[in-house]
Amino acid sequence: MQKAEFVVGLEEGLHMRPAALLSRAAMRFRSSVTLQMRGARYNGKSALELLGMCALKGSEVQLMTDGEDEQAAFDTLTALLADLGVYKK
Amino acid sequence: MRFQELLNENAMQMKMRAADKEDVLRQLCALLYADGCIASASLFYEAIRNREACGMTAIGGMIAIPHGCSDTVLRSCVAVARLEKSVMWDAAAQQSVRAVLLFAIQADQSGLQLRAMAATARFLGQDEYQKRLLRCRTKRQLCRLMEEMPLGELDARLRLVAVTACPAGVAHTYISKECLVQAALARRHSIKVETQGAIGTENRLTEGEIRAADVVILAADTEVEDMERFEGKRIVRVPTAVVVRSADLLIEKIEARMGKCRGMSCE
Repeated sequence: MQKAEFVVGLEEGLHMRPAALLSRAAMRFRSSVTLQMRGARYNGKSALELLGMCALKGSEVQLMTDGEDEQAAFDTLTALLADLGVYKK
Repeated sequence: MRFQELLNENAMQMKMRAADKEDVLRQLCALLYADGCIASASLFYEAIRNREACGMTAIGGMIAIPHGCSDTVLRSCVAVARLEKSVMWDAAAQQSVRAVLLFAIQADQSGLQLRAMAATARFLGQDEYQKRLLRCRTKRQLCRLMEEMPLGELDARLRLVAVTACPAGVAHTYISKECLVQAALARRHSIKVETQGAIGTENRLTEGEIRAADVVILAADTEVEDMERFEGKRIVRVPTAVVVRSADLLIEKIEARMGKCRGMSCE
C-alpha cells in the first residue's frame, strides 16, 4: 500500500470539479484509491464521496492506493492533486 | 446554519416545463430574481453557464447541482426545479436529469458553497434519497425530505451520528435523542440520531451518513440493532442516563478525544 499526507491549498476547498477530476483519474486504476480525513474514509473513485468529504482549505487528507498498480496510481494521483492545489506535506 | 435555511420555497418549481438545460437554468434565474435573491438574472445566468462549461454537475440519479458564487447574489439560497420531462444535462457523460438544485451563493461566502454542496452530495448521493426526491410532487414534500438531512450540516466541526435505545423504548430513547441534538448543535457539530424505540427504528442512519461520521455515539441501555454497520468506526458507548444528565460533558469529552483532531479547525 502507498500512502502520504496532503494539505488542501485550494481557496474554495476540494469542490465539485477537482473531486470529479480526481475520481475520474482514480477510476483508470485497478488499485483501490482511498482518501482519509479525520479518520473517516472515502472512496477516491466516487466524485460524490470526495465532494461529501467537505475538505475545506487547510484540511489534511491522506491518500492511499492499494493493489497491483498502486505505485502508478499513487504517482499519477499525487501529480494530479498538486495540479489541483492539494499538496504533499 | 441549517441547510434547510438555504431552501427557498419561492424559488422552487415542482412541474417545470423546460425545453433544455439552458431553459431550466434561465427559469430558475428568473425565479431567484423575482424573489430578490439575485441582482441580475442575466449576470447570474452567465456565472452558472461559465461554471457549466467545466461540466460535471450531474451527480447521477437524474439529479444535477449547478452552482454559482457571485457578486450578483444578494441572498444565498438553493432553487429547485422538478422537471416534467427529463432534459439532457451532460451529453459527454450521457446524463439526463429530472431534478435540479441550483445553488446561488454570495461572493463573500465561498466556504458556504462547498459546505452546502458537500452536505447535498452526502445526502443525495444515496439511492434512497435520490428516489424520494424524484417522487416529490409538492414543495412541502420536498421540504420535508430535506428535513431528514442531519442537523447542523453546514458548519459542522465534527460529524456525529448516534443511536438511542432503552428497554421500554418509550421515554429515554427520545429524551436522550433531544439532549444529544441540543448539546451537539450548541457546540456546532452536525448530528443525526436514530431512535430504536418501542415503535420501531426511526430516522435510520444511512450508510453514507455512517461513513462520513467522525464518531458514532451509542446511547443505549439495551442491545443496539445492526451493530455491524459501525465496524471500523470510532464508537462511544454510554447509558442513556449519562446523556440525559450531562450530554454537554459527553460532547466535550468527545471533542477532547478527537482532540488535536486537525479537522476541528475546519472553519
